[in-house]
Amino acid sequence: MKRIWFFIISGLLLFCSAGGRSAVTSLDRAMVHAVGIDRTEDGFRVTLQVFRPDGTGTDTQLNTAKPNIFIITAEADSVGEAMAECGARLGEELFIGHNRLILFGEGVGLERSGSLLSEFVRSKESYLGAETAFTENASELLSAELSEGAVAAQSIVDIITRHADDSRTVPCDLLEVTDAERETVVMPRLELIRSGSGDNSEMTVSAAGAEVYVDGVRRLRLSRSECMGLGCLTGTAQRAVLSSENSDASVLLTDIVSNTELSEDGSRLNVRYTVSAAVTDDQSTEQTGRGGQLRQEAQLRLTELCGQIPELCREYSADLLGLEGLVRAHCPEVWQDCGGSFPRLLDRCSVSVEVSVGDRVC
Amino acid sequence: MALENNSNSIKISPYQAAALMLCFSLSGLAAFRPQGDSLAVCAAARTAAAAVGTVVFTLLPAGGGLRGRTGRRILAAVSGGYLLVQLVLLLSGMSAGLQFSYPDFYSLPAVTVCTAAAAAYCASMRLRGTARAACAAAVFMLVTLVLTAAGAADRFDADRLDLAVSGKGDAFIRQLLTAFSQMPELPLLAVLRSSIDRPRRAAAVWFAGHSLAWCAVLTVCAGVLGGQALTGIPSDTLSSYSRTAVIERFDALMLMMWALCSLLAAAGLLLGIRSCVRQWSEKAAACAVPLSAAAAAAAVMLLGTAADGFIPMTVLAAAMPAAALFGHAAGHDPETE
Repeated sequence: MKRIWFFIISGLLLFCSAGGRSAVTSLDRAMVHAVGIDRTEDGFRVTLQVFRPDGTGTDTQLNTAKPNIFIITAEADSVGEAMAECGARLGEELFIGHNRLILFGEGVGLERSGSLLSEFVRSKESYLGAETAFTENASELLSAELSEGAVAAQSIVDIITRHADDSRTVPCDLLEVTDAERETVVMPRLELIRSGSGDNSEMTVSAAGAEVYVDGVRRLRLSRSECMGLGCLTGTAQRAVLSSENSDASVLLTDIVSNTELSEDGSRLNVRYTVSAAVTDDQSTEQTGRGGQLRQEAQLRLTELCGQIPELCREYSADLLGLEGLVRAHCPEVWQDCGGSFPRLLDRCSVSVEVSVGDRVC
Repeated sequence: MALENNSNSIKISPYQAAALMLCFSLSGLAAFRPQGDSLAVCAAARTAAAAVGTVVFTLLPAGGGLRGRTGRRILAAVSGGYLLVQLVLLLSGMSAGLQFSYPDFYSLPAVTVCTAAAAAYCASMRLRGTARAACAAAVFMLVTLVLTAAGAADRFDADRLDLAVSGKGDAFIRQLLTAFSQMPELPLLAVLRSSIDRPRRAAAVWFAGHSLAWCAVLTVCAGVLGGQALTGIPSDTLSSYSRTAVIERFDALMLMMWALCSLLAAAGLLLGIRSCVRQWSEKAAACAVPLSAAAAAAAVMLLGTAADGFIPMTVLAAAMPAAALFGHAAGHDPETE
């Protein structure tokens, strides 16, 4: 029974040793929902979209009469320094555990992505699954009062996800961007679209298209159709809408599945992509009786879209298809022969694409 | 399930013993830092080390083949010293891991004292109680790992396993040596052998669980995180990245299970030390648990970083053994094993 002394003294020591730390309450925290990074002449401009639980005059935390987000911008030599400046100006501890989105402005290079994003990688709170995107002016986009969505950052994330599901762009998260200095990274391209004029104007965001960074340098822009081809080849696309060239009709492709086969033929590597997709017959195709023709047209169009991706890889030395990882995993000796050079590896690869579009099996 | 043999001593089942050992493995896995080595190589090294250890344990006769009292005492002293060092490493690893992940929130003395006191309390439940708790902890930890892996499965890509790394041999040897130095499970199993029913089966069950957990988790980490898995704590990074429709992030759950497994592992070590001390003196064995916990906590604080100031740590280092002596002076009830 008297062993209790041991625990009493231990408990007292625990209180003494733990008391030296200053506690941070939730009220002292500024919850960051989105981060925008722009390049300036001297360094970086960081724009934070901060959640603001404004309780004045209301019982609940959310004051529906006011916008519940707050924008703060600071400039400094590094991203971390600029974020610290934002926190200091707010007089609160920045909490990036709820961060959903990181936007990179036009001038921001990812050649040193590790150090650029060290603030996010270092912090245990940071969510590595946060979406990332390219935009011409990150500060402007984050400051825009969007006409949709209760929480601006979440609505932008939803827009990216929706575009990616429709294979109009290629999603990219923070985890992928941290390796951008060594790899090829494809990032959604966000554009602010204004419709209407004067007081009735509304702003929405489009994520159609993508930007490609090779070894951290922005090298090419993918159009919506190129994103569709890439999404189908890499298996990230869930569905795609293809329009017929000969008519106004369009078909919805679903059940998109991509398989990759790698085989060696002497000193050359043959990489074969097999993409299969399904078209669901709907009322319009039944009425016109052109289901078979539309499927054929869709197959041709999809073959064309997918076929242009290997050409882009060669033209820009961009590993859009993840060939480097594929060869390293399956033919490491070839990878070592090429001395880790992607252009040399491409010279030894023959990439072929085979597409089949069939009926959806219900 | 505890079993009772003819001599009226109660032994723990091989599965309970394996679960206690598995707490070590899972705790080590949750805090594992590859230091730049390929995770496939790390998993292979851990499995190889466990296989070697299991074979040696299976072939080793009970008591190390020593028949004389003096020999057994010397063996007990060496084993006790080894387990105490492992306890210090476990406590320092836990506080270092927390400080690595959450540098602003955890203080080294607080974590160390808290863990040591809780482990001593667990050990006061004796081997049966600790082993039963270890069964639950090991199962919960495995469930957490499975959920974490399932939440990140979407991003898994076997091409990221990166098997074509150069210098695999050197990395394997390095990781093998690290694995041997961080594997107190089998020595502890040997020390507690007389309290375990069918200890060889316990070792075999532990080996299966240990190898499966390490290989599966490190494979998932490599396949999901790619190059990011080579730095930091991969399982921790994976848990903060993983998300399901119900749970957004698993890092808090993983932290809880890691702390629980570490706690039970520390309690197991304390029981092993107590068993070793008993070879020398039954009376001394009574205070072995609180004294060892206090000594280990003091050592961690003295050897650890001086970031929190030298004086508070010295006070704690002196006060902890004093607290333990208080506890011992108060008396004890010898355990019947």
